[in-house]
Amino acid sequence: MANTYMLIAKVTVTGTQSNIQFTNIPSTFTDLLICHSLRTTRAAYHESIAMEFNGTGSNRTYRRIYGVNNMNIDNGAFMYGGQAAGNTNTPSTAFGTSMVYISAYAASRAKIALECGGSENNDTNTLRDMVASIWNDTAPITSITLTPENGGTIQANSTAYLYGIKNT
Amino acid sequence: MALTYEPISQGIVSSLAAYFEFTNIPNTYTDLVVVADCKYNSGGGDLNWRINGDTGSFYSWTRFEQLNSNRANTTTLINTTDATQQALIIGHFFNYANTGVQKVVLSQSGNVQQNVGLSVGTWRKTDAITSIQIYAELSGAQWAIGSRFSLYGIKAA
Repeated sequence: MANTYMLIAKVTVTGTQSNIQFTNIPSTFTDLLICHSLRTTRAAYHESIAMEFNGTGSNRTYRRIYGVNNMNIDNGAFMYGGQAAGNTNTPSTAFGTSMVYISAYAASRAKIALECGGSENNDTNTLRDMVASIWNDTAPITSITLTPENGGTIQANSTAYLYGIKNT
Repeated sequence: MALTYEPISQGIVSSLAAYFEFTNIPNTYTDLVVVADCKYNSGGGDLNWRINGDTGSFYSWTRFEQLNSNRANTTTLINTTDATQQALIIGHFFNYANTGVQKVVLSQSGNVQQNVGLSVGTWRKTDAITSIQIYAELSGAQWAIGSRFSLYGIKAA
């Protein structure tokens, strides 16, 4: 019987680190799913996570619906890989949670990633978002890098899991 | 250990098709997930769900999205986002085999045009879902070759 969701890799941060990388991603799945729980050192309630495929920062765009106690939209040359709690977010055990679904990651065409995530702390300053990101590149995705957008580091006890999804 | 997430069916469009349909869906799961990684050959508008081939006025939907702001309608289908360009739509059909409840689908979507959106749709019938048809808002549009549709079943136990 099929094993639809398979764990490809997991990262548990023990100290601090500048990013999270998944490398040597096999091409044997249909889609990919990233689930993460992150907290960063940014002096804010929340932090966005930038996403790169294959170490390439070009040909990236996104459209986003997001809210910080309200609702906004924006777009730009970037890919969103989720939301994390910032260091102002209390208590220190508060983490952001996100999921990123990447379809046809091994196909020879542009890649679409759907992300939804947020951080919460019983306050009005945290952020929730839903994003469609595009990597306009035909190369199969073999690595994924998640980096705090504003340059901080990822704190201990943060976790990130990469799953491969098979449709047969 | 129980397998909670299983592929039921999948298809890749090999010639232009007006719609794609999952049929004979077993009633042995709790929820269904459809992943549509697709686009039209030209035009087409929004991707629609139709359940059990029902063309009656038993559907309604509400969505918010970036390009077209908020939309809602009572209609003969459940509407999601535009798939004129490559699009990814993930639909979660809850309690699809429970004959005591109306059926609800949550759809998260995005495309390379680009847009991002979330819709909730209701089929105001209590029949078990046995088929799901996926087709274009605008008549004459067809699914392009290479469009891929996957159906998964989720078991709560």
